[in-house]
Amino acid sequence: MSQRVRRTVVAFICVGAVVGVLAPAWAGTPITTENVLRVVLFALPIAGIYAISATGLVVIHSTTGIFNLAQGAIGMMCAFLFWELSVNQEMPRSLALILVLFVIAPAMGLILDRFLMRRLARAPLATQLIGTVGLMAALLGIATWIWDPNRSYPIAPFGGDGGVRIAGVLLTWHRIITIGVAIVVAIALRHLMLHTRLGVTMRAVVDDPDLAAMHGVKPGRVSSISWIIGCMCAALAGILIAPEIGNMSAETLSLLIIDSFAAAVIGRLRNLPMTYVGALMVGLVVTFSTTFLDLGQRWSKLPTVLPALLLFVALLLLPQQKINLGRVVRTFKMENQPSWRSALVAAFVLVGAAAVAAPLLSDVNASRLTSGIVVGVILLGLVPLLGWAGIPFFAPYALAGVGAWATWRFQEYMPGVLALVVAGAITGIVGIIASLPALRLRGLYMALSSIAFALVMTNLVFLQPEIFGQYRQLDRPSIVGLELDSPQAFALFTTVIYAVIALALTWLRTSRFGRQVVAMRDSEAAASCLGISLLETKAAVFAVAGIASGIGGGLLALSQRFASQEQFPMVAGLALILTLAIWGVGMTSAPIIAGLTMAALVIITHDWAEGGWTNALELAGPGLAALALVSAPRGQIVQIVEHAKYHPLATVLRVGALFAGGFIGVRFNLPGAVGFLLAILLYLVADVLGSLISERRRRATAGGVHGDPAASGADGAAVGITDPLTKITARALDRRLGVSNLEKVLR
Amino acid sequence: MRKQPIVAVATAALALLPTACGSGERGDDGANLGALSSSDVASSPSNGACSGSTLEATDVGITADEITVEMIGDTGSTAVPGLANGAVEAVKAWADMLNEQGGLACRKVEVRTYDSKLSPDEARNGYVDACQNTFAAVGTTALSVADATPLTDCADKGGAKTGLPEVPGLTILPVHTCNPTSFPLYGSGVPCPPVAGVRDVEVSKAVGTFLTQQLGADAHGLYLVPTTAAAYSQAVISQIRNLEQKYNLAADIEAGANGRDPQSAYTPAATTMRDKKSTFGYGAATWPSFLLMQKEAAVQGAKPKMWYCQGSCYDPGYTKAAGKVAAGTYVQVSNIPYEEADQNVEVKEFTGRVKEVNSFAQGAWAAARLFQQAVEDTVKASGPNGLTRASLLKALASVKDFDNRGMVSRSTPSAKLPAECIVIVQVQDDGSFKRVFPEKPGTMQCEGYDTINIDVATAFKG
Amino acid sequence: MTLLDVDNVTVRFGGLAAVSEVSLSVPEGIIMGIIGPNGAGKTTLFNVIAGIQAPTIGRIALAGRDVTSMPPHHRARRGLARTFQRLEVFGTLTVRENILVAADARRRWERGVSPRVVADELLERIRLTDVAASTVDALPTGTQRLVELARALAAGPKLLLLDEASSGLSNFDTDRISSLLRELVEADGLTIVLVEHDMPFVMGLSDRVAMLDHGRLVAQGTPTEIQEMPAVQEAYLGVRR
Repeated sequence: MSQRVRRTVVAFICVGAVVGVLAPAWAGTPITTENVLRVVLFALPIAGIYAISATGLVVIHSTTGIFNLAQGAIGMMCAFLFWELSVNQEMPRSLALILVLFVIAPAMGLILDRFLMRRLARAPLATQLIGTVGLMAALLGIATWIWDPNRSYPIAPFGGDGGVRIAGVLLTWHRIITIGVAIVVAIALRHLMLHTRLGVTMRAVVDDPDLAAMHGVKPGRVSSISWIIGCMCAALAGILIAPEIGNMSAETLSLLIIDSFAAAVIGRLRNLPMTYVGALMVGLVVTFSTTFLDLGQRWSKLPTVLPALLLFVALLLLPQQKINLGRVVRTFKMENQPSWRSALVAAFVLVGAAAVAAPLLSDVNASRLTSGIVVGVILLGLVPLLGWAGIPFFAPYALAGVGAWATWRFQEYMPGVLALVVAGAITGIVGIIASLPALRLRGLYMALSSIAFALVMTNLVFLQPEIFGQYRQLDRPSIVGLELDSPQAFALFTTVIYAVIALALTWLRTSRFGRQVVAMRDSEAAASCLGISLLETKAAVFAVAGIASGIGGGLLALSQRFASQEQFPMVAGLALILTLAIWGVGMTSAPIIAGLTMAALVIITHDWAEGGWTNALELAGPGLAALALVSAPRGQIVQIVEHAKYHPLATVLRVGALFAGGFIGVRFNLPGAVGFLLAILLYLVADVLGSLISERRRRATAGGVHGDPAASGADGAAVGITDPLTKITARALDRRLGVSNLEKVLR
Repeated sequence: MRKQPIVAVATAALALLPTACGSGERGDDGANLGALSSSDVASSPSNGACSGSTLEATDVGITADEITVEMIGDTGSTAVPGLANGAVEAVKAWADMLNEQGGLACRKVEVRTYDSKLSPDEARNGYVDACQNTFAAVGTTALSVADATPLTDCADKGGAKTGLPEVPGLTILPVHTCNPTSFPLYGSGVPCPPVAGVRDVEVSKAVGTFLTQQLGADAHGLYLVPTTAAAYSQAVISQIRNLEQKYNLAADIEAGANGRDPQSAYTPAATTMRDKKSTFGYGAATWPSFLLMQKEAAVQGAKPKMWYCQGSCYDPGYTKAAGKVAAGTYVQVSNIPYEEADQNVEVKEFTGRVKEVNSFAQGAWAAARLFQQAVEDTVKASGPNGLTRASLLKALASVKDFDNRGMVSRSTPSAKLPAECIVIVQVQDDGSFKRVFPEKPGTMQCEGYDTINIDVATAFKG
Repeated sequence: MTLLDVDNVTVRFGGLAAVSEVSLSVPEGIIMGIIGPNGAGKTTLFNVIAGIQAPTIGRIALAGRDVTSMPPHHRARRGLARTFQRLEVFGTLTVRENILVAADARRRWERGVSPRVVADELLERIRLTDVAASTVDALPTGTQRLVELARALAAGPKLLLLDEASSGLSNFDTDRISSLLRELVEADGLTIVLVEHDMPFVMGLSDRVAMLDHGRLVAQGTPTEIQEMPAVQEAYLGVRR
């Protein structure tokens, strides 16, 4: 079918679908000029909010290359600080405004740039996005900690009462100010970006920081300026939006940014006036639906999903290159592929350990362990997508939800375990459908489309009465008569499933399919020119992901014994990916480690270390995670394994210290926080000791040119040297360079 | 930030919290109003029933000296830390009070707390913990309970699957409300057992009476329905339809309120109110959303005769955030207002012993008192050693018209009906609440129930 | 038989015509060289032939079959393979795996192929056995080009497009490649089209040469003929005064 025919067919289907939904929902409101004008007037304030949020997104993206998911959260912090100063500390409003906008926001920008963003800028796209998710979670945590969400934080709107009345609708001064400021900022920034030296420099640094540096530009300084401007935009947005949000909810303020994605994408992430138009479009569509449509039960949540749907449409309508002839970007290898045999051994060890440990756990801890492992199974689905294929797909819960529903649906007709298999298959098919955007979209746009997909699934598809419109109850499954009712048995069952899926994935990776997928990631153009169908390969990877995550979702429903739409929120999915990314996106062992650490954290905070200290740790955790991610974009597992390889003694010391601290705390019944601190303290001591020992070893064997070859290992890995420099190689190198007699020469 | 519902869920629960009421129209319970002396407590030592019998450990969580109860509350979630702190405090205060007065069933009351963290997993773990370590779950204030099987599957000391008795402070989902071993004071607006389709639903009659009294004939206006989750709209839609159909309080517009909406999302509803000259605005959503609606209506120039808040507005946070806008708003509560502590001994006791007085705390307190009542009934019938989970469940199932000494709307827990009795307070200019209906302080208005035939899942559009 | 037919292909990007009305015919069994100054449109032409770039006007035919609307992977199945000017190696895989990917893909349309055997043979032939287990990212550019060549050959093509295959190679390696390519054409019946800047290499190897300048085909002929043509001399050396 030719391009043109295909486009017309798709257009027809879309229009047909839209009419099919709208026609029965028509509210009968007459279409008069006044009503139409009203829709526009209703839309303007909402559009203003979207526009001003999206401006910050676009500015930061075009000056730093980072799509900052935490933009709303930064604005939220500034809004709360504004409240703190102007209401709580009773400063005059203008003074508080100036302080927040021109002192606090720039300071935040500087700090963020220094400690997080500079390193994120060089990281692969998925790491960047996930890093900003971590930042958002961290800021949310801090805000919740400082300003108790159980209280209210009213902020008066700017401009006082009154406003301009048009066609019977009053546009308050505050809303006019918001709309006006959005326009002014857009124009000013556009001028800055296109017509000033600073703007050109900022854009040059995004394109090629090294090249810019060679021309006398200081990328670090430019990056700081970009983030200062970005944070000031965020602060402006936060302060202007906050009075419109009931009770100043931190979460609402932080997540509102997601609705502005569509506007930013319509502006192609660089064109500010178009961003404004996009915001208007989103606002108009939303208000149109709430004014003229009377949506029944099935579609009642449609207005909340409209921004996500529009995002989808905008992404797909953008002109895209079909196949990228990419710049060959030297990326880190995101995986250390274990051999089939070692994977088998690891799987047996895992199941064995679970078989031994599970019966020893209390019911409560067994079910917490199960939760952790179930999360691991869901995340396993992302390993082929994010790790092998390099496709930034951020909707694990969307797939898991399908699996959960399918498990519930088929449990009536067949034993639970079989239902899981069927659920996997069905989710695999859904995965293939989800792969369709991946054919057109890459990189950031692909990531955004997956976020839109997750939103549509959670807020529209899962709410359909047939799916999760009602809460679904499930029974525990049994295998050939073996009841899996007890939490311990079910924990073991989940571990076995994880091991099976992980082994299957490892086998896949070592097979020709695995090579094909990685080849596609490394160069789509070359793969395509070798006869590999990108469509089939991508669909296949998504199918595999669907099967794994679908089974994970089914396990989730079985373990909690209920399935509902609320188990699969989009933002929680992003947080899940963060936990996976910390350990390593490409490794089949990473998901279970991520799941187990989550379970361990719950157990520790609940049973052992209760109190404000660990609550604070939980809140700050995501921020720490983001920092960990940035410092080790390949994942901690790779780091730790290599560290253990080259500095075995130091690693043993550190791990031992952590456990020792924990053990002492439990043994002597120290209050939880103390035990925690003790563990950390011992770890730091061991860290220092370990470094000292390594240093001494290095100095002992170092003599002239041939230093301790092992010493180069750990540092070398950080810069991409994956094969260690052996003594033989070193000597050969010296000979080639003509420096093998250097000692003699130098003496 | 993991799998936890947003803050709106938490505050939405306040809207669902059946506001309790006490017995208004004198009659049956008139005799109970008045000081309760410790001689009324059947199990206190001064009664003599305790001395003379050797106490035994009759079931899980009961020893010769102690009764342990589990208090499961969302105190440590990362999204809304400390949400259920008031409820936990209330149960602990109740336990302290009992222990001062000589104990319960001749034994000391111990409270074991469990943090459910706004997580369905942890809520279930709490029940498992309760089953293994305590006699009953009292005052549960966990908004994410989604699975009640740990309650029904709980075995007693002898191994029989009696189930774990629970007197929760609140329930959200029908699966929890309708659990046979759970006895909330009030249901969640959906009859048990939860079945899809058109059903008969009971709603409090007093609300309609009050509104027609205030608004007179030809009343029409706005209904604000919470749409953040299906459970919330389903809980309130029955009363709304009842008001529209039986009491002719016609709807100019039924607007949905999502916890995430900015104020401008309410502009269409506000302009409609103004254009149609609505005489009332009935809010069933949480107070932040309701407040946004009120503010936007003020901005657009809508001036209804009456603003009515069915849910969570009996909260100083609301009046503080609202300022002038809230003045004159009518707020529905199902308990004697805390301002009338000197009109009711129980209210005085409650406000005296609990620092964080909010609806969660009040719900947990009432639940604890209900538990106490059932225990005392059991002891009266079979002595202090006759207290087992099975016998407690029987006692709970036979409690009729419990009103916590007049403090809350009378309830027969096994019926799981919504709160029958109401008190209406009005927000004053200074932000305080003043009773307006029924006029006599210390009383509640009880008129029974209206029945409406409705399918809650599909009733609300738009 | 004409293996490749480029029929009046024009490629426009906005206002700029990268390739303008180019028509070429490549018969089976020869080596055709394409030369021209930078920006002449050579790589764009290759991208059109390979299917990565759609022509604004014009047709491409492979062995008589019109492939203009065929995506690259279908063209590959019809016997087309290429290397890239800016390396498109599978950097995180080893050399052997790079070749295996191509050989694996080939199994789809050539049933009897054993990928292992093909890979070993090619590693042997292109003298890459030493580095077979090395990750390609870590190898020098010249070696990477050889890997790309081996990979393209592993697909068992009838028509091989080489885009600046000698760039980054030492003289020694270039000579080796030259004789290898000759061998492939004579013994294995391969047809090769190569874009080159290395004049001795392309003139010494090609049977026919075509020259592009500013997107237009300005000259065609044998190497000797081409070198005499004034248009060619002008393009490279400038106008004679």
